[in-house]
Amino acid sequence: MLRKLLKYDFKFVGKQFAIVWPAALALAVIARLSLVFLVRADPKDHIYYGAQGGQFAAVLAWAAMLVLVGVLLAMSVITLLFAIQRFYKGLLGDEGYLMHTLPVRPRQLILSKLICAEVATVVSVLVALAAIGIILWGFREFMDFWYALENSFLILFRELAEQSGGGVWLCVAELLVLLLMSGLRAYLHLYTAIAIGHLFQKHRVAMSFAAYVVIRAPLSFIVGTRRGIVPDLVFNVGIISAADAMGGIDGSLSYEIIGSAGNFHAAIWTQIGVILVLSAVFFLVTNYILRRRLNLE
Amino acid sequence: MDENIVTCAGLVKAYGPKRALAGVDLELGRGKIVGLLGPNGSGKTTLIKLLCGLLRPTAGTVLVDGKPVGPETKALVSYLPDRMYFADWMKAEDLLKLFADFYADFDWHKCTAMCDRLGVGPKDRIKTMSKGTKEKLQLALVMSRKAQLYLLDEPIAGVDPAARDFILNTIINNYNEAGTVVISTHLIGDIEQVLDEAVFLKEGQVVLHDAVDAIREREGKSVDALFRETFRTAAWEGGTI
Repeated sequence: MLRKLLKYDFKFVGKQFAIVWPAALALAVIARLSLVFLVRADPKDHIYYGAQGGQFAAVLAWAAMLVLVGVLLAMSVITLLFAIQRFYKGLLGDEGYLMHTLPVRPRQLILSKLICAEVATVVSVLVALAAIGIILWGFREFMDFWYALENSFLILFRELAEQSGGGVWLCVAELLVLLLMSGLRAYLHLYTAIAIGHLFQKHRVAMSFAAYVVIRAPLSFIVGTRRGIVPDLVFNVGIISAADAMGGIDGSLSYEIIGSAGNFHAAIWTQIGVILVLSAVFFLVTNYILRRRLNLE
Repeated sequence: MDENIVTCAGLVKAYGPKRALAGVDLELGRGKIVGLLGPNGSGKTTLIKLLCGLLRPTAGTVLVDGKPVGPETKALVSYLPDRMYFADWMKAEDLLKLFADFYADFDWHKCTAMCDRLGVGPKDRIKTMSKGTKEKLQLALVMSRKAQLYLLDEPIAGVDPAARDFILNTIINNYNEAGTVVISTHLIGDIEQVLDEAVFLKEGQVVLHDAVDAIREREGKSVDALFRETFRTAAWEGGTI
């Protein structure tokens, strides 16, 4: 039954993003073309200095950046709203009359929405990265930044792999698993808040919002007691990139930072474990409310 | 298979302090057309939603085919809600596929034939249909199932007399004769001739449940007349208090 639900819910993903995703890529292509042809910026040169059109070119270059930022912002908002709406309207609004009278279990309904939200998020992130690449790839400012980033990632992961064993790709894969799990956890947190709001007779949206904030407090305490591995990594990559940009990497500095991370695998799996437990609690609460306390009035 | 398709015992549903159902005991047999009759706010919609699992009871039990409401009973129930529950951008064909996917008792050919008669093509978008056509399409989907229990919530409220005839004929000509049809309404005159049994709901309680013929014989009047008598509220005729 889950497969059938997914078929139905993925139609909504297609409908929602059929314009957004191609539009983001098309805008990126237009922004790049306007940079290359109108500004005549040579990708090997700096966008800004290499532009031959003077002020007009500079304005265009900034406009292209603005388009990029706009597209990324719009896409993250649309993806988040999609995830919320598909749960709220799809299960607790008018459409819930259809979904809850199908011969399926509430947990299958939740899973279907969750998988769709996660897949839509992953594709949105990939499209966003592609849009960045389409606009900026090859231009010197971006490539300088890119090489610095690539370099520091490589250094970081090589060090991590050397210290903790298992190879660079295993570390990267573990990090991706952690990111995907964090996405699921975040959506389940939202679903739980919406389901709790549904328990009230009135002001359901306000109550959902309140529930979200109330859940958030102990959550940040749990995660806050030890610094998460992702902020650690972002911090490290930032430091190394900055050191690189300032002219050469101070090996001892980066080694010291990485050394403080301890065993990478242990750290990342502890964090995945915490996220799994939290996700399971959120899922069980949401499932309980839809199964035992459903009130579609 | 349980003898009764519907069994409610001491069924209570409260919305905060207000009780929409205040202890309903009701048993409905198979192969009947039952009118669930009562004025607005008497608890008709609440009872139907409890039977199809959109609400959970505050107290008491509700069984369909002898089983508590869940995926198993939902497979037996064909529910027509008092609102549109489809996404606007879908095509008629999408809805048919959805019903065919989830309900083993859905008759694809019957539904497409009904859609043809309504002038609804498979590629037509829901968004472009009039309110009346959407309602008829929803009815066609619901009546194309060979269900054990049809729960039709106010199918003839707010439609013109011609549409009313269409809806009633669709119901009468297409329901599974081994199954039971529950029609909730306050427009009794229009459906009285098709009913086998009548259930009167008043302020969340069943005040009468009997065969329509038995009611007519006993009371010496139509169910419609009895309904007006039971639910009459004396109008204030002016003067000083």
